[in-house]
Amino acid sequence: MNNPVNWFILFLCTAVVGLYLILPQPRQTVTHDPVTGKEKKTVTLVFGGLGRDRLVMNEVKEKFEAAHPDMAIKFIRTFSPRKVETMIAAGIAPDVLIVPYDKVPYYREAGAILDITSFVTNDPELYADLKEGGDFYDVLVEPFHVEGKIDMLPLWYTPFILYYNKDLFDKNGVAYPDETWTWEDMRAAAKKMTHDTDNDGKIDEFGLYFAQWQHGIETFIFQNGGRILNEDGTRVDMTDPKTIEALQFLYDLKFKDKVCPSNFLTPGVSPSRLFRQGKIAIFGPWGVFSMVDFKTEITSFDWDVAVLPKGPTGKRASLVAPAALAVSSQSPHPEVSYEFIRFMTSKEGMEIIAKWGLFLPCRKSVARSPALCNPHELPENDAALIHDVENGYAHLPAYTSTRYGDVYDVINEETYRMLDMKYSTPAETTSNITTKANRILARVQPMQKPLSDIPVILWLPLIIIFVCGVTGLIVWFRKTGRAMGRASRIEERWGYILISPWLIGFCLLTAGPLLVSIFLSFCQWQSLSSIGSAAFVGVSNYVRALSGLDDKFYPSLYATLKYTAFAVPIGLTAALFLALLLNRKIRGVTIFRTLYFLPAVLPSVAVTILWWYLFNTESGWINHLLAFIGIPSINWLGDPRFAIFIFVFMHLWAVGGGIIIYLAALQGVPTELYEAAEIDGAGHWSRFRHVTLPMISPVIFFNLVMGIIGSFQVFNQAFIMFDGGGGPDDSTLFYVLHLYNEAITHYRFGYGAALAWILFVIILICTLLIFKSSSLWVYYEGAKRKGRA
Amino acid sequence: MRIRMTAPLRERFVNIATYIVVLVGVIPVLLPLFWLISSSLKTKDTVFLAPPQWLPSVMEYHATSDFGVVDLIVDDTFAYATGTLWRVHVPLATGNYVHTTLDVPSDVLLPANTQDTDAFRLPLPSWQTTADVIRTGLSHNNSTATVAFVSDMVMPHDVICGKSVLNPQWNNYIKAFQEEPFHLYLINTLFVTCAGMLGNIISCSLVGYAFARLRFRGKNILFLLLLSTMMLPAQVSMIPTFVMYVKIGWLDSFKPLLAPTMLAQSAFFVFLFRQFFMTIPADLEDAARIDGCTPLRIYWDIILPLATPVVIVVAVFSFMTAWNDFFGPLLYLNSDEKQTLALALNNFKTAFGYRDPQLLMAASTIMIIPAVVIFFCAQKVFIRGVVITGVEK
Repeated sequence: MNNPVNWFILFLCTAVVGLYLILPQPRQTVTHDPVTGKEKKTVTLVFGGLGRDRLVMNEVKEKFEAAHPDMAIKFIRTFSPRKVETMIAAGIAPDVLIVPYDKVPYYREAGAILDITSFVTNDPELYADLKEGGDFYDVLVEPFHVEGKIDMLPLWYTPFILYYNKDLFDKNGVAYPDETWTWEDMRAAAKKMTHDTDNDGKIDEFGLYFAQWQHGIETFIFQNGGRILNEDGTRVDMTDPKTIEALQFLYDLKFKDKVCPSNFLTPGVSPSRLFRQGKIAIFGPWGVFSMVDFKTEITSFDWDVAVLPKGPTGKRASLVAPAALAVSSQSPHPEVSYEFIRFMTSKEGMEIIAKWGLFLPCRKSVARSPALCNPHELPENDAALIHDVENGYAHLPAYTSTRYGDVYDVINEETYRMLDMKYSTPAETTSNITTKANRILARVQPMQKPLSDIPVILWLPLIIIFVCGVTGLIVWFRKTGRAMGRASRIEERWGYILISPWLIGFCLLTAGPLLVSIFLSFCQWQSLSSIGSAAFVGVSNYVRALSGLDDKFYPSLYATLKYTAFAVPIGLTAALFLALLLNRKIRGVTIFRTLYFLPAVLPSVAVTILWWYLFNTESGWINHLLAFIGIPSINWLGDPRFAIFIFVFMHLWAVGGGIIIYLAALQGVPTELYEAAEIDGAGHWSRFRHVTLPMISPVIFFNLVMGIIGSFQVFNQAFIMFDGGGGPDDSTLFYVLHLYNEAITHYRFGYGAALAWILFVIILICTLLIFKSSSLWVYYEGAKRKGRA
Repeated sequence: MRIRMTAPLRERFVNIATYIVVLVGVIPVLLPLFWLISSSLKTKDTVFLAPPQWLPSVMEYHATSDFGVVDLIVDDTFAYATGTLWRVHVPLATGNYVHTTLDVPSDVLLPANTQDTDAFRLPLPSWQTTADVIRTGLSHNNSTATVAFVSDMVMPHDVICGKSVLNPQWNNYIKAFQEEPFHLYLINTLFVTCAGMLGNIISCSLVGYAFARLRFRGKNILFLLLLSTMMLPAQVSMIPTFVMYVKIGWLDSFKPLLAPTMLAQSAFFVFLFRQFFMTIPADLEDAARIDGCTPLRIYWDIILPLATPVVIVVAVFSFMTAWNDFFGPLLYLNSDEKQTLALALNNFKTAFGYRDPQLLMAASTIMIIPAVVIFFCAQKVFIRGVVITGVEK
């Protein structure tokens, strides 16, 4: 044992054991009382992780544990918005769930929430508070009980209000907004306050910014008496003239009156930042969650809040978005978890929420608490915060089903196309939303029986095939084994033992999943219920993708193809060009080879983060360099036309792997060929054209195939660059990213599997096409000699 | 005859041209990395400065006017992620001082006119000093800045010369660790990396050995199967594998990341070992076999020590794969304390990318350094590996 490899392996073993021992320890579910040593029952809860959140967490923990010495709270910090869903699906849900209003149907359907009616009814004080007219605002209690059952306790909410810059109002001689304000007053005020202060042709003081996402849009629609859902609330219907009128109002504000700042997808520039800088006069409808920032950061001007203006018909309406606390159905000690949510929704807990300041507490008795409405701090008119909830003007956002989130995605995307890209008019937008959203809502639930209901007899063919296969294998083994000697038997046994890890892995991680995946692609199987509940749906998954019913399928394919069309040819050419240069025998060439290869081996996360900064519109180097050659600043990260090129650039940067392969090929070209060509009087170009190119064409061909396969599998960069989304207008929704979102984020395993197989077929076809056409342009030395001509 | 005379000259010319092109080409390759390191040493507010700054530096301004010295001090404790808050300290002739803060966000630095791209104008809505500044202009180039104040108190066009002073913030690296427990994530990453390396070396070499040296029925078919897995896109088996791990409770653990390495699922590594073992003369083992050694003994005592070059290739490649892996951890790891560096970096970007860009850059640099070091130490290994994957496959 005195050779380096064995020592290296032993060293690795020690390192692994050592590292294993110091791995960060997982969360404990049981803690012990330091004094009595008694076991404490621990409640776990997923909560944000930013600075202010920690303060709340600490205070909640302190107060709750002081009041309940036998209980403890454990916060799980997260950055991932879908963390809780993943945990529920995996059966490791936290004990207590914070359920935002829009996730209520999802959590209910997943069976993640425990029915706490019996707890609440045995708790007369709380029960009275929850009743109509009790301490909780009625509108905030409503969504959290169903059919007489209570399953959640209302925790916090955000109203939607206007923020305004008093200094700008004063400067322009406009009266402050009050309860009599209407849309037209707002429009007139905004027009008066929109200026190009330095006369450079660009507006730098804007009259108005309104939230361009679902809640902002919905507020205006409600105020105008329009609607999002039809009468019975089962389908989306935005074709009502009142709805279109509301959107037209917003459209005009943006494009006719030009009082709103445009496109905010530039990194680092957010509308709330513009307001903080004193460049927006009226800011809203917007939630209260930005108020903490405004309070601490706005020092240079006076500001205040106001209720939203009335609609043209004089209708006052606004939205609220509440969230509730629930006990997880997976909680091992529901009574302890209940005790915690009771504490959090009690007056004491609500006081802490009020101090936190990101949301308002749902209890009337805390709504005006000094922690929330401090007379010594801005805003002065804090009554505006609770005005609408208190007077019954507040509505819950339109409510449909578990697909609620998908419908809102559609609304957001279409509004973005209308208000940011100006791709569609209000009328077109509403009809687009209606069609697309209803298509989502109408998506048939599997009517077929779940697999577990299919009689065993139908599985028989599969079972017979399997049994026959195994029997055949055994028979073949017996038959061929008879002639073997003892030594070869032993050798064979060792052979099987040694390859067994791979064979087991192959069956469990490749072949098995492959078969299951084919099978799954013909099934509808959502969430992580037992596989028996999957339902056979024939080819409908494939139909859904290919017929465009999934309206992200073709965009994702298009994005991938566009990327391929640019990245692969440019990458191939650049790599070949550089390889030709680096193949010359010049001094220091190995250093250059190394340097060019370097980017290809760097971690994709760090690299993507780096390029994310480089492509920043204002402070990124790319735009700065382009300015040198007179190209105006491009909003790379926000403009759907350009976003894909970020990835093309990144691909080009890491082209080193291709260079190395070309170099190996170039060095394999026999020098006699060049000498012969030179004697024939061939110059550099014709030597390249007639000797080099044909000789390395198999490698070019190989790089082409691998390049295409690789570009169809782009994921990391796209995921990291746009935080898991598809970039502006889904222009960088790469195919695998779409697949990941469908399968892993939304747990649509059947559809995801179908997408994977479509990808496989696409790659296969591309590869075959290239193989077929290769005879036209690839020169294989051996083949030619055999006399292909 | 003529050709022979001019050929060396021509060669030389081409070589020089090559040098120039290669040198120019290497700039865009290295520039981003330089910028990464430079940004990791900047203050919070200079990272997002427009135009971007080359070196981690701050501007120091000094000027004299009839009324005294005007100091513009960039105060990074009050600066916001993408803006810059300037604290202006103006001693007046009367002996009093005027203090004010001035919000100069980087995005309002707009070119004043197209002819002079170096000139930038700052529209300042809230300049509240006793010296009421009506207009401030800052003309900016790499080393000096001129701030022109027009006011009734300070004389028009007081000239303030600024100097860019190199000021690397080394403690960004410490701050990054304080902000996020990257050292814990580093332990996780090292564990996954080392265990994966160990698993790959042992399992792949054993399987490669069996395929190269032992005779058993079905060997060729199985080897063909193994090679064919190289061509299969991973997405196809991703979903059932994910579901399987969830069902057996392996989600949020390192097991799904390590299982494929322990089970020799890298066809490329198995192939490398097998090809290498094929070249070892059979006599070596035969002697041992006659002595009654088991294949396992032969493998450990004779074959493996000979395979040093391949072990290095596999070790380096599996280190890089595990170190750089993002998709695996993204799929399988959830808990805060289980994150790997790649995952933690991405989460850091999502959460604090705009708030603390310099810390994100510092963390990214930390993650890149081991990859760069290993690459430079083992560049030949890399090149060989890439060529094998590229040409033989």
